[in-house]
Amino acid sequence: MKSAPPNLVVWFAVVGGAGAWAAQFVANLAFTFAQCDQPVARWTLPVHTWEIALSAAAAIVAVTAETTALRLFRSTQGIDDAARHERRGDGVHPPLGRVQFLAQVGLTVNFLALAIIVMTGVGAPLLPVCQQS
Amino acid sequence: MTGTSAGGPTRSVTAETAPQAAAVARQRLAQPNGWWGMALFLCAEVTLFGTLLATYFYLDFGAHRWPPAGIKPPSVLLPLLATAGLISTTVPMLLAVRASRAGSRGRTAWLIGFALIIQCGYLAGQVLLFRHDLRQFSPQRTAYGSIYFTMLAAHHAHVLLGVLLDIGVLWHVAARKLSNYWLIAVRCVALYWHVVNVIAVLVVLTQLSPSL
Amino acid sequence: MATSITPRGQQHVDRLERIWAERPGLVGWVTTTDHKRIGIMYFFTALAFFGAGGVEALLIRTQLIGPNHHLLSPAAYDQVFTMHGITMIFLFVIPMTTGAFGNYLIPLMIGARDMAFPRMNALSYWIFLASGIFMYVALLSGHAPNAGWFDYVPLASKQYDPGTNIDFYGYGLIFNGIASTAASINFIVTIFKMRAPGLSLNRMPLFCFAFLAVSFALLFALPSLSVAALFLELDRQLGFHFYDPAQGGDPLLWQNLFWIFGHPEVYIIILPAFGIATSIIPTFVHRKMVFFPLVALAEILVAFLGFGVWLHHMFTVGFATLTTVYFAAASLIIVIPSAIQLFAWIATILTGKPEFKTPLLFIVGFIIYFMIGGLSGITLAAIPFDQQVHDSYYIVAHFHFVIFGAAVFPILGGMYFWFPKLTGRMYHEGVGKLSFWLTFLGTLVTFFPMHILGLLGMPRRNYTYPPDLGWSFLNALETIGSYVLAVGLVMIVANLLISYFRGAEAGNDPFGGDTLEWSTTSPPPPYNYAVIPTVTSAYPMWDKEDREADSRRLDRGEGLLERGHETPATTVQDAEWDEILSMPSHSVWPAVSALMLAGIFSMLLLHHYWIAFGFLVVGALVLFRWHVKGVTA
Repeated sequence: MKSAPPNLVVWFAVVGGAGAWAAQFVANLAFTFAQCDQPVARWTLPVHTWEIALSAAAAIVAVTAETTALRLFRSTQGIDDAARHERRGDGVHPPLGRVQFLAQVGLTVNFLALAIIVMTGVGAPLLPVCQQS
Repeated sequence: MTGTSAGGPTRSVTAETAPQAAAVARQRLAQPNGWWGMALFLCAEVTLFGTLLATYFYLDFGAHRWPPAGIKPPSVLLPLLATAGLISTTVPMLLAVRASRAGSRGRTAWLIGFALIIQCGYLAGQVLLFRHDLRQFSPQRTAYGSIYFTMLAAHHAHVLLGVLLDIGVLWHVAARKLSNYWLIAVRCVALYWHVVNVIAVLVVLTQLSPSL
Repeated sequence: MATSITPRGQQHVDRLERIWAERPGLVGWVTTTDHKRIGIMYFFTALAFFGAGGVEALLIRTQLIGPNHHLLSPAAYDQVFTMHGITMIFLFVIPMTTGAFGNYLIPLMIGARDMAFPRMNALSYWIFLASGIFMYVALLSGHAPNAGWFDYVPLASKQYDPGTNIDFYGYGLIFNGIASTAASINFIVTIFKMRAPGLSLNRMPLFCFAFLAVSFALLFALPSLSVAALFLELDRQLGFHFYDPAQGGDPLLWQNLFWIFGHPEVYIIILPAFGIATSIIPTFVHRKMVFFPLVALAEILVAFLGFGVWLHHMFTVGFATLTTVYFAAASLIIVIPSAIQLFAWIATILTGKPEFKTPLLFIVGFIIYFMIGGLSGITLAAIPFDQQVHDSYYIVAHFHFVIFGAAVFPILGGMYFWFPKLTGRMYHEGVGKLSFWLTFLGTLVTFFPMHILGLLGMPRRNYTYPPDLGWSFLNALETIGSYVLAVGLVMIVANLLISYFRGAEAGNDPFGGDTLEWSTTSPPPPYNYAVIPTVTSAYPMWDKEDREADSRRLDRGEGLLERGHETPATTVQDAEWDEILSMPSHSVWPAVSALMLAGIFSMLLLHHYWIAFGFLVVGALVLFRWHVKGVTA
């Protein structure tokens, strides 16, 4: 039996993409509010540049998390997550059954997070800054 | 019967003295319930401050001038110095946790007491600054004043709560005992202060943002 | 466990009975820290508020049965529909799901003997009760909140609503939020730390995943509401200017803060329903849930993504299109985890051998209504359409299908499902099925025509309408539907009430359930399990040999923990047995603390700030006393 990856790696594979989306979401929102809410021109922010940069950074994190999840999924394939009498973790390395469970979760979460990041990242720069619908 | 035999789960509540409690703490595999309770409570408090800071900037972005006409931008030096003083208490609080885990009741009490003095000094200084600000401008005149004073008052209230927690723990640890329960309490109070200190930095940077 | 208890095992059981004995009578209920008793108190309190909210709904519907009716004055109508919303959301659904179902079932499902913080659990209940009474004092005194449950400023500002109505709302929700925050912390720690040995994260029942997601969502959503309400009261009481554009404030700040809370709130309402559905379905179709990891993930992900979609409640306020894009992407993707669950339920039912008893019927009703509500939700996500039907009955139709059809149906199904566990008796199956059909049809007839009325242009929240707009027939139909629905609901309560006295003996596990709560007696003893169960899969009740091993350990006296209110604490991910905790038992301080809090908020409302401060000091002393007394060991 191969040795399990450390807990931190596994959890990155689960929450990496979601965290990247959250950061991109909050930062983008702050930029648009800062640029678009001002009643007089107090500053001019390069909103589109920031959006593209933030989305790219977030997408890279999400892709890394997705590939990590994929690697974990492959290395533990066939191990039943709810299997009986599975080996326990030692605090640093989780049991392989849980790695499989969390890898399946990570594959889905990161894919969905990446979808949101890309949809926002592609869509937002195409729209004029601060125009009301 | 599952007892306190080596390797098996411990009856942590039987740890009455400081060395016993420290032994239980070292043997424990996961964080105790009390620690988790405090950590989650602090999640809610961090969110609360996140909302306050977001409100500050939301109003800032929507204003013609920030601070509005007639209000001077905040002076930087004193709040920054006070915050630096508060952050320095992270060290004694960390050491207090260590001392408690080493089973040293006296050292734990001294370190918490030392931190408490600085924290009280910080609170007193901030209350004076708050009163000084109140004489300069009012929360009832502008939205800037409203969020400025609400945000600061919220943080000072958290410092006050921390001081009260300190006093409660200190009284127990110094005058009575450092049992398993109070060892966890020391850890919880330390965690509380770490988070309040981080919030202090964010609050002071927000407060001073017009002058930075 | 079918195996009978040997005399030696019986000795241990007797000992546990003595240790965990509850105090008799009313005092026992007021001072209890038993999660099951607290759950039952939550249940009846929430049910009472459901009744009150239901009467308000019937008043609204009776008022609207025909054009130009004047059963309620416009002012009274405002108060009634506002209280209907507040009651159903804050005083019925959340307490009923997290409070009653969560409290009663989570410790049982994870094989614990109590919640992580038993006295804080009692505190949550008493604060919830006090806050509910606080808000109903408002209604009975004719000063109930009257600006809608969303309470938009400037309508809710002092200038336009000078009475105490809105203050009851502001203080009441902060008050109520304290209870929910404490409860959610308690649930998370319980689920993290109190699971039976071997019940590792990936073997946790999906019900617990749903409640974990709800608790996290509550924990992170409530501060936003509390801050919004705090700003509102500072504006109203002390003349601050958070929401006053004349002095640099912004009314949209309220809308943002409210919906940052409000949209996660929608998932807080519906996620427990998902959890109940994933408990009922495997039991009645006799197979495991398909896609177990994906359903667990979907429950958590819905709660997480729910924080990034709040702006879709505000499409008509005029934000930049760019801003709405961030929310549109998340709003589209959040459909996927919901759909994962929907397809997992349907696939599980179709590939199993479904037995359509009353609880499963309610879940089927839930799936149908969740689809209707979900589909109308997708139409609302289209911004141009939303702008047309905004503030019309179409919205009312949409969210009633979601939060009545989808969120309450599993609650009703769950009431039938766990009734035998709570009481040891079976409900009446025939009456149960009849009550399902009445509620199902009542819901359809009440809420479906609202779609059409909305498209015909009938606005929300109007207390009456003129006769010549073609709305009269559908309104009359809805009112008839609402009475049918009420009859169905009363029939459910009557069925359970009569079955409590006359029902057949149910035994420990009448349905062949999959989770641990079915292994103990019905009703469970105060200590839940004589032997701490050991778990080796996600379906512990279907591992017969494990349960038999448990009963053998009872005879040998292993894993009993009988030196006080003892229960194991385990590690967060692997559920390895870490330590033995001694839980506190009965205490009067939670109820007293809640009373002090009620004093604080009442005095704030009446502007007696010094008396409020007095209550705060006394409350702090109570907490101190509680704390010192509590440390028994």
